[in-house]
Amino acid sequence: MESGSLYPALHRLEAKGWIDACWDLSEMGKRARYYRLTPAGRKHLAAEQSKWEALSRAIGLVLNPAEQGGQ
Amino acid sequence: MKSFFRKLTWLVRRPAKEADLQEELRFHLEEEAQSQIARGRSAADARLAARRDLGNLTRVREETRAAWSWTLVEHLLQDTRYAVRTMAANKTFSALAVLSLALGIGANTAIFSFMDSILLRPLPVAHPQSLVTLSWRTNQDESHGLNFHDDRFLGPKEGFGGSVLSYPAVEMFAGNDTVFSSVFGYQSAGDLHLRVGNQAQIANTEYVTGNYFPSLGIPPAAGRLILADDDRAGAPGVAVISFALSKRRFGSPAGAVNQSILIDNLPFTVVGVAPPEFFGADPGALPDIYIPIHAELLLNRDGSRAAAVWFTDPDVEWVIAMARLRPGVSMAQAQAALSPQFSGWMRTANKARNRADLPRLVVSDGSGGLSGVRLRYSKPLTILVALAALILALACANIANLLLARATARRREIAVRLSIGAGRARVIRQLLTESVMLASIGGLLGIAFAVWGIRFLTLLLSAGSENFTLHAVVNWRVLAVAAALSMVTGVVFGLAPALESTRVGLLPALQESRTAGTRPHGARLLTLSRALMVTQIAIGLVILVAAGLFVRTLSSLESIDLGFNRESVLTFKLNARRAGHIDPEIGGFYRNLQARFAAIPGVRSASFSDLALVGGRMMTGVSVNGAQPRTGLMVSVGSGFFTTMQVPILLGREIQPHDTASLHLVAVVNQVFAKNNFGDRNPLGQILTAPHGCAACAFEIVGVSGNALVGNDVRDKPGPTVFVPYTANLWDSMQAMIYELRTAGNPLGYVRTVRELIHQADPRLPVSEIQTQSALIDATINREVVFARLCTVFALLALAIACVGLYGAMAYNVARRTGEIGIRMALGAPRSRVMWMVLREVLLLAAAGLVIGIPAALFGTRLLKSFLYETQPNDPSSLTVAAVSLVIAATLAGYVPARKASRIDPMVALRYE
Repeated sequence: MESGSLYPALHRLEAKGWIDACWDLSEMGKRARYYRLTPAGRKHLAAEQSKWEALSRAIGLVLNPAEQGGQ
Repeated sequence: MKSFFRKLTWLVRRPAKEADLQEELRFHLEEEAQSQIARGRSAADARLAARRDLGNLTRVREETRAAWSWTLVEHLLQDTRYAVRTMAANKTFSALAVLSLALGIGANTAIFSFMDSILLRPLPVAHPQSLVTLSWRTNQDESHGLNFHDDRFLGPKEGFGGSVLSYPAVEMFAGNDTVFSSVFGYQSAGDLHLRVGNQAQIANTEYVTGNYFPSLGIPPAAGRLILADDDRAGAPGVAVISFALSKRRFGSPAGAVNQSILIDNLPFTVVGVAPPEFFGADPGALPDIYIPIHAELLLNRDGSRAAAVWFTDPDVEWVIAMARLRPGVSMAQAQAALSPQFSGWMRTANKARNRADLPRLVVSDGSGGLSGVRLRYSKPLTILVALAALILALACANIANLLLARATARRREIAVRLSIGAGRARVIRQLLTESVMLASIGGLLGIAFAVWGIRFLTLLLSAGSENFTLHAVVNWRVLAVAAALSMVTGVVFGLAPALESTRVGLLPALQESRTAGTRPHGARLLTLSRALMVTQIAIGLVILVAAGLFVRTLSSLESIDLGFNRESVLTFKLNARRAGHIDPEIGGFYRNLQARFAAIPGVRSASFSDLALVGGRMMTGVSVNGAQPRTGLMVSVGSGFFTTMQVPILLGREIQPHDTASLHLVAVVNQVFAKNNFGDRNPLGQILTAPHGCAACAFEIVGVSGNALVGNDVRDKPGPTVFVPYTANLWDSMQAMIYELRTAGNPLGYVRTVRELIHQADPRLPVSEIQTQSALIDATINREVVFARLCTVFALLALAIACVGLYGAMAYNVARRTGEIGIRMALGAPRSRVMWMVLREVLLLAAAGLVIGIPAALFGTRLLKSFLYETQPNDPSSLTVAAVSLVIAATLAGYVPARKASRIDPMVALRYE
């Protein structure tokens, strides 16, 4: 994957209001671009995360039924 | 939603955003290169590696930009740009489509706005829906000379109807408080003389009962309104004036309160001002002044009856009554409860009416007030609305047809677009954008046309009269409906061909040359388009026939011989009695004025009469040599009346200065009177008496005149008429006089001189109804003039729109068939044959349109019968003229494309593909 495809993704997230972007000074005193999760983004992340966990658990069940069932 | 606004702000600051991205990417590359250098690479290597790692820089930018904006909006902008380009490329098509839509929308909005302001608008009062009017019906015409009846024939089933009641009848209704919370009445007091300080003017005055304003529930603009205590015999004179009058005379409503004014020389105090939007309970009346109805006791100087009878005699019917229903009482319940009560009261109280045909009460909706205007204009307006709706139908058919034709012609373009990867939805959306855009521009222009149309209609309906009270404003609801209709037409007829042409298999459509059009769905569109054209011609015919009928009606009305010369006569009205002149001085005053007017340079002769010719009539019983009186018309005139009006004297002499200077009881009768009463005998020297007009007078006939029309309307037939010197004081009181000045040149050029002379003679005396005799006559046929003019405009509009449709459709047809025509010509078809081929199609369509349109017109015009004069609804010449002009118009519309077809160069046409 090229690192260039990062930018369209970042801008899409910004358009949806999940992240904020700003120029700021880095700890080395250099101007740098910062991206930060917004509260809406955090909420969305949590929702997506739990969805992902549910899915991965389900997949885990499918892949290792015995191991899970044995406990 | 938030993301929408974020994107919106981004859209606005797009250049900044662009720079930002540039900066961000540069920063990324720099950082990456730095980290590579930190890992020990050379600077140049590091930069290259960073670029490699990032990937295609342009694509990154492209994709990031895509994240910023809405594809939908971008496509819309693209579509709009494309639509504008297409419209610009087909200027004629676009202009025609937009124009016909705008005309249709404009005409409809204008007419409907008028209809709304006249027929539908509720009174600007509190809770108009609980108001009712109290009127009545009889089987027979019940004019009996004791009332101000406005009875009119309503129809064979309804009989005659009227809306005036006697004052005791109104009191009787007011006594019943189970149904009505209040009963109130009003009646016009007519044009009275108003003096404010030194300024005299005519003011339209309304008598109102004391509970009129409280019942209507309107707030005063200043001061207070008339209250119950103001309305009794002996109360001090109070008046409420209209908002407009307060501005005009006192500068502001507040400035008018407590001011003293003179109404017919009697002192009144202005106690308040009506709110600006209030126009009285009758939308057509628009009074300047409201006074308590008991002021009648002071103002009425009709010497024939004691003033008190107006309030006590159940036979004197003159008050228009309205009432407010109690909450929870319906109109039907009120009708059921009061009908028997009213009939019973009539039977016992009324003495003058025919016992077998006593009036029956009708309680009807009063939310719009009772209005002569409504009655007068409702049917004509309905017809105009129907015609305007036909125009809109025509315009919609037009745009449908033009869009269909264009879509057919663009099938290949669309196939090309589909084949190079445009989605079907995308193509449909683009076609829709175009038609919606056409419809929107048409709608916008339609607003402008509506505004102009209303100005034009006001001008047309008012026919120059100063106090025209119907002021319509653009009705936005109607405009919205008309615009929505055109939008729907645009969408439906833009969508249908769009769906059709995007469904095609690409290959056949691409291969299809311009000769095609025989394919099944192409044929279907063609049939639809032809059906639309035929409909247009049929609708056009109906409108043309209607216009023809009205124009013929008007021309027969204008060609009626009135028995006098109506040209170059200035008329105006003076009422010296209202300005304070009394007998016998008033007679000399009128005569003196006549002499002053006659002396104006350029005035050939001047006279006056109590009625203008075609300005009203007074019927009374006239007895010859003491025989049983027979109905005749009586007119009081000054000397030289017949010379001034150019009425021929057939026998004897006219009424001369010495007849009026010292009263000679002489009379001039018209031919009808002479023939009715004397046959072939000589009427000169016979004696006439008029028991009601002047009991003591015995008039000697000194002359016989031609039949100058004395009547209300040019359609009246000349009746048996007697002209007598005004000094005979018919009806015991000399009232207003109409002066007639025969002038050299334009009569209106003398208005200023006339005003100055009147002011010199008596500054208290206002002059009213200044107009030419022809304008006075035209006012009686105002409705016919309006109809004829408006329908002619409609007909021209319809013709233009139909031609536009035919032309547009045929032009596209020819364009579509260029290849086919090229082949025909290459194979030897002469140009004339090609031309005929196109023309024949137009003529066939026109013929089909006429076949449908003629029966439709014959059926439709029967509804117009009551508006026609000496013209039959199936008037063959109107029909012929309409049909011929349509065929000519269709030929003209077809000729241009036909000529273009015949000019096609076969080589060019064949190479085209």
